[in-house]
Amino acid sequence: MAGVDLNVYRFDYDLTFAALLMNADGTVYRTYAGRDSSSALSHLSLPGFVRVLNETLQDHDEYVKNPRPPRRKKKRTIEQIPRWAREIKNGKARDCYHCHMVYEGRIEDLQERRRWTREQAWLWPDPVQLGLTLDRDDQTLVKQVARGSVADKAGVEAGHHITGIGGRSVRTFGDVQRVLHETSGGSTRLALGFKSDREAWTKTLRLPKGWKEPTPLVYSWRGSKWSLSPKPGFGGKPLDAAEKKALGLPEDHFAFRVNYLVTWGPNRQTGHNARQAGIRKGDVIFSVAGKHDFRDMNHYHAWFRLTQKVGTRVPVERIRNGKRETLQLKVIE
Amino acid sequence: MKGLRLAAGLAVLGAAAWVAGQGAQATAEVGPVGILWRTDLDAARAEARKTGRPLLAVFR
Repeated sequence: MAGVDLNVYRFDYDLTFAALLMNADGTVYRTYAGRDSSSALSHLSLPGFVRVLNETLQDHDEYVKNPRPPRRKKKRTIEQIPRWAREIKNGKARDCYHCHMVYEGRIEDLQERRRWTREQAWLWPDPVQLGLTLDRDDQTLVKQVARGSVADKAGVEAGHHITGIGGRSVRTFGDVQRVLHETSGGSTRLALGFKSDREAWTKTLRLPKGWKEPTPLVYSWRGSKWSLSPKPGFGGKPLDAAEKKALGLPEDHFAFRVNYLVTWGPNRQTGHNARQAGIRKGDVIFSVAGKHDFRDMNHYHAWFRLTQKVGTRVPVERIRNGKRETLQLKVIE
Repeated sequence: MKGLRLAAGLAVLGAAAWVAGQGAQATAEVGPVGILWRTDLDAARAEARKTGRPLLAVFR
């Protein structure tokens, strides 16, 4: 991302792949990007990408007949984010800045200036926040509508094709996310356009305040979660079925063996705090606050950061030398 | 979605449709499928402006 203009190339910087289909004037026609917690490729497919590339050529042909260039903004790069600007000033310029470092720098900067709020973490909301699951190859096709969701209440059904949101044309998952990203997280209404072979119609979704807030699992894939607090200060490797069986744990019970405590760097207080609570490398952790249904380590780390309150104590159950014990971990900043 | 798979997808579009640019550090130009492909994003944008073609900006 070195030198890339963040005011022109705007996308979800937590992603490991994103394609912007654009006009040279800075207009973004389409955003082909997105993923969920299952895999970095969950929403990408070659047929889907080719389809969008082909369709966007038509968008381009239409646009050039009546171009509406976006207002030009001053160039803004990752090197200007205070977290990274300081490094450069101290002679530690990097050859390579990864996309996720944009959010990492932003979050840490806001936290330092005491201007950070949790709502700022709800970036590029997944359409599941509306109750919508979209097809991977044809990302305008509603594959599933969650029962009781805002989309369900508005009468959206599987098999419908979305054509627009909030008055903006969409062809991809990333297009939907872009509109959701720019929509208020407060109580609001959002019009979705649909079409079939014979007709077109609109449904208005009523979004409650806080609609952008994802579950820890939905949020878990994001690299920017590592910058959020509170942090547990320790992590490790999930146990496989045989290891769990040997310890008398049910197969569907999440457990991990601690292989690090964060006792270094700017967050070392969290590792020392975990050590003070009695956690050591090699311990098997099989429940935190009574919860043992984490899907993976990312889920555990996201859940801790999004649900635990600084100043409280959280019970952590561990096994060491075959002996089970409950420790009390203080939740710290 | 790397290398050959991506290139194969772009090839379907034919040679002249897009100008592609990659958000990366390298400055060398490559042309894997006959499509204008530059690893310098600013150069790709300039090329798109000059030719009137759409720009495909890839970040990975």
